[in-house]
Amino acid sequence: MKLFPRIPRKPAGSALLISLITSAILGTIAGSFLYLTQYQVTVVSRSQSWNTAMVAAEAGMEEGLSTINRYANIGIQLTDWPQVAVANGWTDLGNNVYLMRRTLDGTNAYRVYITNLNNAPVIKTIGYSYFPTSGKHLVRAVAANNAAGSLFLGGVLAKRSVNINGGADFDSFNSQDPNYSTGGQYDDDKRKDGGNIGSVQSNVVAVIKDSGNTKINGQVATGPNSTISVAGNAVVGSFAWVANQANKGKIQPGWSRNDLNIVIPDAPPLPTASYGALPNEGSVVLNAKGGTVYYMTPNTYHMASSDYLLITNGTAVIDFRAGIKMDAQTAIRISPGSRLIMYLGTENSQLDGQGVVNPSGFATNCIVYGKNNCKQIEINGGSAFIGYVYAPYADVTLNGNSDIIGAMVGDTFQINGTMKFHYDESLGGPQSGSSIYRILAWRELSPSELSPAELTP
Amino acid sequence: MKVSLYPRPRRRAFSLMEMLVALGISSILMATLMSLTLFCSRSFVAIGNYMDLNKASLNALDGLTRDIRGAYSLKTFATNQLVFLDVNSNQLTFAWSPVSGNLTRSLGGTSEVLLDNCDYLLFDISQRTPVTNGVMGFYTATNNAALCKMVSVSWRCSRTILGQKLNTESVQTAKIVMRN
Repeated sequence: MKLFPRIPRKPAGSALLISLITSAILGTIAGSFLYLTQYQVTVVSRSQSWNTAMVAAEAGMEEGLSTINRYANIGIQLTDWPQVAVANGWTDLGNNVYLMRRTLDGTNAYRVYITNLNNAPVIKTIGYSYFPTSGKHLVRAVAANNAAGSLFLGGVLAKRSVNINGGADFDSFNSQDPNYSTGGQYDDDKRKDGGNIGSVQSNVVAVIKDSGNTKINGQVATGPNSTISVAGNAVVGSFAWVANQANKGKIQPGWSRNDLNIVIPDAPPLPTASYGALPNEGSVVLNAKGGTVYYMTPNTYHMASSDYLLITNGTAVIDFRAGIKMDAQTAIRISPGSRLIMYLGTENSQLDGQGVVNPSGFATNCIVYGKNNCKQIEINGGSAFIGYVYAPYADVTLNGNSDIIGAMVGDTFQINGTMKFHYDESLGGPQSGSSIYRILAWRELSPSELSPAELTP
Repeated sequence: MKVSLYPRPRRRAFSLMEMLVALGISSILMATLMSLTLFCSRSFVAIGNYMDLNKASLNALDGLTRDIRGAYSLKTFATNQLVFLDVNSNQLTFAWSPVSGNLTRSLGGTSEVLLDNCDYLLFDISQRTPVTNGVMGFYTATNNAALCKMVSVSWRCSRTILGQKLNTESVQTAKIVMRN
């Protein structure tokens, strides 16, 4: 007999309830941590995409710059780049606007617009970077205004040392600006204190030596960690600073710097043409007949006695493959309206005698290029040298007391004379021939400055 | 005589020993649970703070980089303040106040706080030119604003938990080259 039957248990769900509550709490905690982790991933991913978009945009900027500088420093007109743009894959949108679109790795991309008005191209480049979280592209855009410039950043620019120990007087003018010239000519009353001198050499003590009675009405610049030595009565600075006798032997604060850091490329190559033999020394007239004539001479062209070389009625390009030597009383004359372009070769070139007579007064009418094997150039002429010298491998020596109007680039400079050196600031522009487009202003655009179509690749 | 077919089970209270053991175990369990909850909460807040610090620093660095790259020139320099001119000759200022701990961007009369709770910030400027030929990445230091081409910046921000400064973010540092 069963006296104690089983007691029926009351139904109870407390275990299930506790499990559910515990799971909910743990799930909430885990979900929150996961959410925070995902948020962190999103933030980092967005930042990476944002920076990648700028890299893409700058890749486009590089392509734009390389396109407009296709003819820089190779003896072809810099502004001719649009003639081959379409052949190189650019789309001509009309109104002087060109477009290039590229996809970089399947997801990132850029598009570049070049607007070429008045030969001052503006490059607008848009970079697109895929942002996985949103499934869209982040967009960043940059605009850069460009202008043609040259390497004549000052009166004298050297790869290495500049030694000035005479009594030279440096200043500047601008033959293209009537405020700083008269009829394109140097005018004492309109001169500027921009007779700048520079050396790109770095880590050299006294890479620029300025002594004697030299007056540099302008600034001096060297490469990093190089120094400038000023001694004696030499002085560097503004007109007011230089004129003050108490400042002799000093550089005006703020008128020197040591961050010059540029590449000086080789001289442009000889134009491709048929070069005739230059007539033997004597009384030589080169009549270009309204065009351009090309001559060469394989040996040193030695002008003696009262020899002269007259350039008339156009442009003469002469390849002095072994240099030129001018004795006293000799002269090279460039008639008004004509132009001489000299390429100097191996031997020591001496422009003595009356030198190069350029009565037009414009430096762009007398151009002296030193080829890579041109190691030495001396200018001792008895008349003013009006022109520019671009000889990156040559030791350039300037003697005498005749004025120099123009600009010079060389390997080294030794300036001994008491000449007045007037730097023509217009040579910093495209008219000096050996030019390149440089960025004047770089600006990042906001998305609101882009059209809706430009917001997607 | 009434005989119950379902006799009531015997009931009796905890003995003192049982009570003490139960209390001890419960206290340990409760303490463990409380400390775990507190630890989890603090960790959660700390992680949130790190997210916030990271986001704020990234946003500030992105904006700072964009502005400095596009600046035209540096007008004045101090280790806690940079005054630039942009391409339109507007004055653009970045200033850090050690008192408020804010890094502020000011342009054209409008100011915004890029960073708050910033305990340390240092601006430094360099020329772009390398120290020695052929060695890139090491730039010549200068104090001359006119020569500035590169800006170095580093900062450290912090957040608090229950009033205590427990979170810091000290790894934000950058070198930014001016493009103009």
